[in-house]
Amino acid sequence: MVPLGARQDLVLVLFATMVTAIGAVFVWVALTARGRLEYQAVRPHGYFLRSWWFGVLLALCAFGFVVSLASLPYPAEANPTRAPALQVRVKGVQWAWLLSTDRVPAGRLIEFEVTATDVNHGFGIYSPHGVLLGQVQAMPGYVNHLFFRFPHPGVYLIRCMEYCGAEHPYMLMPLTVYQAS
Amino acid sequence: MATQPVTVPAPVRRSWALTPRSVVSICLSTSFVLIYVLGMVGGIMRANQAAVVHLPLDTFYSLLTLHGTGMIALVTLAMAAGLWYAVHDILDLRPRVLMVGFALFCLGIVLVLVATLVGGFAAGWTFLYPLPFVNTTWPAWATLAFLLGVLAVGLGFSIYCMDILTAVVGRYGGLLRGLGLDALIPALGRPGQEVAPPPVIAATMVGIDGAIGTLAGAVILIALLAHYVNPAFPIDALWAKNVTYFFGHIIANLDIYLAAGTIYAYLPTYAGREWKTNGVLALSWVGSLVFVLTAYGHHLYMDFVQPPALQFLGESTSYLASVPPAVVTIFGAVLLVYRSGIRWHVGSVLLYAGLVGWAVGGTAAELDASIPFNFVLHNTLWVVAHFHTYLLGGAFLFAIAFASHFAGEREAMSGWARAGLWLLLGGITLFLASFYVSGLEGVPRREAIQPAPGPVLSLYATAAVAVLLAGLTLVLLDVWHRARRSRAFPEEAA
Ligand code: HEM
Ligand SMILES: [Cu+2]
Ligand SMILES: [Cu+2]
Repeated sequence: MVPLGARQDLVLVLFATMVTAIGAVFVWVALTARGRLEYQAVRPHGYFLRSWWFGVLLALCAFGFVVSLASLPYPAEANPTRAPALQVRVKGVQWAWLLSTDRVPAGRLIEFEVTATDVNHGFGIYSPHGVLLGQVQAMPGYVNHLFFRFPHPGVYLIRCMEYCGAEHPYMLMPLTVYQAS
Repeated sequence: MATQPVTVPAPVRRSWALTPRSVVSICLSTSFVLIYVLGMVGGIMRANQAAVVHLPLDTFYSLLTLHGTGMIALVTLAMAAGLWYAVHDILDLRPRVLMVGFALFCLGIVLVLVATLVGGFAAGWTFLYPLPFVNTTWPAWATLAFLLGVLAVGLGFSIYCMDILTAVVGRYGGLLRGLGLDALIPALGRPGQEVAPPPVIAATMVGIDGAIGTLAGAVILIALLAHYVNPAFPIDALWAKNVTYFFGHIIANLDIYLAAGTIYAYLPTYAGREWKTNGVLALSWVGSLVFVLTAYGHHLYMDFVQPPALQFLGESTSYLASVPPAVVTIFGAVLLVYRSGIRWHVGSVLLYAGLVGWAVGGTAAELDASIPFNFVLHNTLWVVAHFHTYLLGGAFLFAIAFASHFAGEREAMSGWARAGLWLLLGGITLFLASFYVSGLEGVPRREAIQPAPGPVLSLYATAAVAVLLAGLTLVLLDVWHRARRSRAFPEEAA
């Protein structure tokens, strides 16, 4: 198995928690469904609970939205100081990646300028351990700017993330990340 | 019975008349047979990803395209027939119009079958421009057949939606009342007229969003057809992606809202409780109506050139889209079942299980709809996991539940059906778990050959598909058996 990335880990914890809660409610209601109560007796309590549930869910939505704003992958957020970054031009073609360089330094902000010439591709960055670290689409006629910092030196893998025809699974390219002096 | 003199039973009527029951039966049977076959295709794809079988790449992708397009069309067909049946009396819907919709679905599905299996069309069910036209491994006519096939299905659904909306206006004198808004704003009501019941509200919402969605579908399909005829016809890739996903998201999402209508109609019959319209319910459906239209933006998070306003609209309304179902429909259904002494039968078990699938699939969708998580989940198998949870583990289960109710559930649940339900639900759970874990492990979707640990997880999934299909066989045979009985003895049908 591939180790989970930090974000994937968080997704797993959140998902497991919520699924457990959902499962618990459904199982409990199913198990106690036999003892019959009049709906008139149940409903007022149910509606009271519902207004709380509504409030909690709305709060969760608002919380999630605000928190997500803090770690957006978009250029303005990923490079807030507008510091100069090392630029790498990326072009996706059926079925290869054309990069202006295949060696980049670790720890520095890299700006990938990603586009495609034929169909849509997806520029996905995998760690040497096989963890998906992030991605951006490669679309004909557009250039997407991805600011990215490689945490460690090593051989990373660029993998196509958007179905682009028969050879899509083989659209791979190694990217060497070296220790910057 | 026993005291009556023995009489020779009258021969079963063989002639086929266009009645609500007969048209709905034919929609359901067609849809289930084909879903079963496409489920087997799904199992073959999983086996290929497990390297148990070795399909040529282009064959794999033709099957993927067929599976995705076909399943969406067929689950829509089954659920549309179910909701139609639930409201046809109140709205006075004509079986002939449903039959026209059904015929267009069939035409479309045949075209898609020919395009993918004979022609080898393989641009995926999203046929994202410019993939259907560039360096294709299939002849041009296959692209044409596929686009026309999707157009036919869209037209069929559009006719269905327009028919419902016309009937709602005829019966309630306006769409706002069809949405039950007079329960919220009494001034809107008409004297002496009852508020629309929940299934009608669901049908009205589906009618409106379905009409808008199929219109968008027509726009992109006609643009692609124009490009097909004249390759100089310019199409912008970002525009095409927006319109395609606006259309695709609405159609796939509406399956579950169609299903909600049947939950309102049939869960109460098992629980012995009434589900009435009130202001909260009406308001929640207005919410769903809007959010289903605006949430599609989450498909374009990884297009950094997309205007930020659309990204934030997509994220916020994707979150909000969870509120009406979670607070009103799913919560309401659980409350309806709570200590109701519910009668468990195939129908009620599957309605209840489908609610779990809806809730869990929705949760997984919300995580993926968070932009920072989407950065590492987009186009991985996590996406496939979440939509199979609410389509296979939700909408499809609701469709079988409806069929079982429709077939008649007077006698107690058979042992075969019970075993079938365990296998079906257990198989689905294991099958989905494999997709979820693969997604977290970074295995991309739509890969005939997957990176590790995809193949191992695909192997578990292949076994799970066998269990799932075994269970499905038992459940469908049980439903079919009961349907035949109730045709021979119509007075026994529910
Ligand atoms: C027996 C049940 C099913 C099995 C075994 C199955 C299996 C699969 C598999 C293996 C894939 C390819 C995943 C990948 O991208 O690698 C897939 C894709 C898909 N499935 Fe299913 N599936 C089943 C039921 C359903 C149902 C009920 C629907 C309902 C609408 C559905 C809709 C789709 C769609 C839309 C895709 C995406 C197609 C594409 O990427 O173009 N599936 N399924
Ligand atoms: Cu590619
Ligand atoms: Cu690709």
